[in-house]
Amino acid sequence: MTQVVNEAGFVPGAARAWRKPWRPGRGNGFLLIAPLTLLCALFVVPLALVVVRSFSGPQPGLAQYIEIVSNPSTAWVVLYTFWTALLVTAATLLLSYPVAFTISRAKGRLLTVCLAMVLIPFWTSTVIRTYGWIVILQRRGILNDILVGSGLIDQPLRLMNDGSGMQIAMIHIMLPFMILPLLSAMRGIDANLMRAASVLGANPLRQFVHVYLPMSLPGVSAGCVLVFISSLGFYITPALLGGQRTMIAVLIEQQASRLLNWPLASALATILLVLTSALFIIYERLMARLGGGKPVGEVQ
Amino acid sequence: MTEIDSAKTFPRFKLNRRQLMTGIAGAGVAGAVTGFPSILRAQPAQMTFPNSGGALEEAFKKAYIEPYSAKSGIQIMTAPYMDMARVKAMVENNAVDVDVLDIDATEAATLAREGLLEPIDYDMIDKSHLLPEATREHYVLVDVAAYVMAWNTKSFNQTTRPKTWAEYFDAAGKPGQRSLWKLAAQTMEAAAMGGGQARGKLYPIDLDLAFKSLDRIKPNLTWWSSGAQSAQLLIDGEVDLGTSWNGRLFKAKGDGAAIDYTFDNALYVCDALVIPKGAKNKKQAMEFIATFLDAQNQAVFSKTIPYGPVNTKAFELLTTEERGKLPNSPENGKTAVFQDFDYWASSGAAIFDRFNKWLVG
Repeated sequence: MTQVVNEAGFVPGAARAWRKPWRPGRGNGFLLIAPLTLLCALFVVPLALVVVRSFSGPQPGLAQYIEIVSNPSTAWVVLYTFWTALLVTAATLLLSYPVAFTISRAKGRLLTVCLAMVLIPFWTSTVIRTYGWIVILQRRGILNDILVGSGLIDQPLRLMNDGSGMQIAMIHIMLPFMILPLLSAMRGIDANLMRAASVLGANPLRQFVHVYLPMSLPGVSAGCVLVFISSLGFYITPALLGGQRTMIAVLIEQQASRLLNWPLASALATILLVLTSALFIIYERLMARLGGGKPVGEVQ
Repeated sequence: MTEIDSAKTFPRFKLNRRQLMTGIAGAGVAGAVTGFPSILRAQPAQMTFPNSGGALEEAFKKAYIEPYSAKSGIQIMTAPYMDMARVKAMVENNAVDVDVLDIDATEAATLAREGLLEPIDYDMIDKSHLLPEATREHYVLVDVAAYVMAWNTKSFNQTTRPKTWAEYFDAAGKPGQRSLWKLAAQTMEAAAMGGGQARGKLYPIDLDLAFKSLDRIKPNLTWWSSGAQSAQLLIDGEVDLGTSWNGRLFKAKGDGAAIDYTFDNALYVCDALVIPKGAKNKKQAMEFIATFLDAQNQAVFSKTIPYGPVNTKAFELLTTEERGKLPNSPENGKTAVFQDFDYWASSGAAIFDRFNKWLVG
């Protein structure tokens, strides 16, 4: 009565004879030659040169890395950058999840309007959005006018100085990068599964935690990785809204083009690269375990 | 020549040695006349001149580029500002494809220190009326702008505004929000003068004094990181007192913004011209640079944009009103001081590091 049919559409017994079932892309590896050549020549090789340069400098060796670790201001900037990226990722996820959920259930005109509200800011230049946030967050900006005018606070908040303004703007700029992957995962979730859970006696919380959330995890992980890695390398917003604070990209720019200390700039870039890759690998492993062995980016 | 013609002439086509030599010589002459091959060319058809762009480029065109092109027949192609990292990469990879660069003077000094520039040939330049600060071994200053104190006129006026940097850094004496450039260079000079360092003995900068000044106004301080932002902070009243460059403020004030500024105790900052090491048209590049230093051309420049000349003869060609807009006119320049570009080239890294530490702490 129940005949199990696998993804490729073969009965398991019969599939065994097909050692190598056809898959899109098999035998077409040569199509990758052009992009791989481009990537190697223009990305991998220069990146390797950066890594090599980080070990050069006045004396070859680890001098630049020792300098970064032993210099409290540089080490602090590296830590602050990771902290900010973490904070931005968490806040973006919390804000995006309900939004993506609503959009995934929307239909017709509401869907169009919601998507437009996500995509129009996404297509607007980061510089313009950053200046927009300056208008809102500055000492005599719209936000402080409202807060002081309504008597909620006596002194205007100084959001432009302590890095919080920068974090707010970064969260806003990163929202579409979280909402869109979440949305694509959520639109693939069959609503009948929630109904089935309900029929079986699960309350809404349990339906969410045990059915919906696990199924949306691939979207969560893709969004988090995108937002976290983009946040680490943010330049414009920290440069304009950072106030007293400095992020690693700003420091790299300062060393590379104002002080011409390329070994130190390369070492900072290498640290960023290595820590990002390490975190990405850890995260992907973790997600593979949680999400039923489907790592980020795998076609479903 | 058609195919039939060549077939007909073929039997007669026998070269002796003399005809061959004449032919080679003829080809050489033809090459020189038509500009082919390129080694025989007398001068380039065009040269590339990266610069800061915007209003400055317009003024450069009117005052220097057009007269030079008219005289030499060489077309000048302007290009976007080239930062130091690109210059370094270009010179080190022996791929110099620009001729003259307009660049911030501290950057010019840094490039000179790194050995990335051609020396300036002062045999081709009349130095007699140039400011002594302007003529350096590897770069030459072409204008004088100023890092100045400015204020929002709703908060301060000519009598109540700070007269000195000491008053600027005294939040109790002159209450109000302040702004500074989030960069060690220029900001450290202002802060040191704010702590009482004499402007005549500004270098080496007394860093302890400078950071004490910054500590004093830290609670009332907003940082800016671009020229546009520095002017906007003042225009919006986001800060009551601010620093900026006179060119930015001149334009905003002219457009009717409620701001004003003073040249008192200003710090002169300059544009410099340099030739990257290995540039191909050195002789023409030097002639182009010499065009910038001519008194007549400098006067045209200073009429177009409020940056002062480095050729003092140019002041004689300007009206009193025109001189009033310039940072280094005899009337405005009494209490100003030149930034020491070579000091920043040699000590910049250590000061930047300490400045970054202060920001974090």
